[in-house]
Amino acid sequence: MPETCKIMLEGSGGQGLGLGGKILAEAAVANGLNAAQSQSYGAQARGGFSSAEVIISTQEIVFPLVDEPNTVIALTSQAYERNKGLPEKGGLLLYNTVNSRSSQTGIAGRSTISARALGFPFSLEAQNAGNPKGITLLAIGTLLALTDIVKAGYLEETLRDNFSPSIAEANLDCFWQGLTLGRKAKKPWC
Amino acid sequence: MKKDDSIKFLQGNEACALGGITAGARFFAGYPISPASEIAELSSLLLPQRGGIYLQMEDEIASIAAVIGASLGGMKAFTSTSGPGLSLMQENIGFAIMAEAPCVIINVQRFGPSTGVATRPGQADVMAARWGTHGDHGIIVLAPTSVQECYDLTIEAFNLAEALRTPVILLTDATLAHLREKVVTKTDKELSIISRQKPHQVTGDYQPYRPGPNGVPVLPDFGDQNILRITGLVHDHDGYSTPKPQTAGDLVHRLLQKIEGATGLMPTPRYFGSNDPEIVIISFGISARSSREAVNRANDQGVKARLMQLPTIWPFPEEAVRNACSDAKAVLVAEMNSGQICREVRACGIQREKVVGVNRADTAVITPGEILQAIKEVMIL
Repeated sequence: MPETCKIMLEGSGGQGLGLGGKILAEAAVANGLNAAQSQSYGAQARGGFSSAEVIISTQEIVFPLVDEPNTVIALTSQAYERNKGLPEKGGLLLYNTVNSRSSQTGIAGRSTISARALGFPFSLEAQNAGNPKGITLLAIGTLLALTDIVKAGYLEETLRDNFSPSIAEANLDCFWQGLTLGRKAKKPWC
Repeated sequence: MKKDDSIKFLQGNEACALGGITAGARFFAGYPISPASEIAELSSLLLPQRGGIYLQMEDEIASIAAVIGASLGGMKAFTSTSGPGLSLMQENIGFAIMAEAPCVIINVQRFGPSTGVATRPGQADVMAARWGTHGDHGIIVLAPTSVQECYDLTIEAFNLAEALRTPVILLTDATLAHLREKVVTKTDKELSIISRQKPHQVTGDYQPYRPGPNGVPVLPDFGDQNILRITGLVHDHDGYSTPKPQTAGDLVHRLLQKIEGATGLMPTPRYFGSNDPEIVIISFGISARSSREAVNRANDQGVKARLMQLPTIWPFPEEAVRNACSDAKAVLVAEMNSGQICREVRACGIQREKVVGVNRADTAVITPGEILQAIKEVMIL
């Protein structure tokens, strides 16, 4: 993995992208790394395009915004379309596939297309875990399993700090489910 | 996994509130406004826990008035707002300057003028902070470039306000306000915290507005045995208003001089990049982060560029700017406005054609790529 991960979390309002980004970055700091996190503010309707950005680095972060991402989690078709060229530039794209009719937000008809564009049924897994809103944390679990950007233990700890115990447990279930998904897949940088 | 409690992951706004409280602020009065509201929100949570007071006021005029009142009562006091609120506060900022009421005003810049774009950044309040209130006056304005500096410079703002008995404005922006980064916090015991001087005892010839050390008077608090008369009118050493030209001239001169003469107390410019630069970039706030990245990339490509980052914008560090720019082939000034600092750089006596603005005034942060492009363009000239 690169020494500086410039990560975009993209999807739709209500998927917890902002909070997921914050937790990922906060866990990175707890892990002794440098991190910066920001998100677009403004009138974002539930269901409309939404994004959050996170930079994680072993080095000092000079410019704290993501000008060109090298890692993207795309949870909707729109997010996928915006970022589908990323693997050709050497970046990593994790995207949400549809394996269920009940899923409204996935990207239909695409399986994994290259070593650096990996599709996972994030919506379906989050639904199966009984926590559709945990989709971002689930995808973050997969990202961590694939890249080791942040040790999973720090993310678990940060997650517990950010939620009440019962909500934390539901979100941890999603995160662990995501870790399992990622561990079964081939690591993109191996 | 033992946690170090001094290391926090904070938004710029949260860092400002924590910095203020660490500096000893125990009073906040404000009115919510994007993108500054989290400063009020966190203050409303933390101040009561520390024996302090949080007041949500009916508007920004009342907010700064309450802050001045609390300050004159002896508390370290602050408020936060954005451009539209800063405009409303201007009259009372002048009053605080004249009455010598220490206070800190955090202005989280958003795109303007008027209500502009509430959630997007700007850096166009540089001159509003300097000259927004009427009359000849000095003002201190600090500008952080990171969440850590939001914390550090808020503490510094309180120190300067208390040492010099004057309002200090902290200029941040919507991007820094909502950016989250690692912050190393300190306790007040680990920091040099300045508290204002107070008169020791009642004496018959006590004159509250007699200039003290460095031209700063030693004023009592309201409610002390020493009587404090406060007015925005020109006043003599006793605090009585007078129109005498000599008194008026001396007072305005002292108010200017106590700021201009204290630049040694203020944060000095920070430099990054080549020590022997052909190109100097002058910037502040979030634009300085873009500039520093551009300087790194330029240095990697063999271009001798250097960033001069200004943590203190007012008083403008003229001498440092002249020194930094004297041998440069070109000076770029990167800012999210139409050239407010650029004009000051030129006013320092630097050759006009040598100074080039890199400006964005469209709600977007200037990118490192744009600044790098500007560096390459001036190298060709």
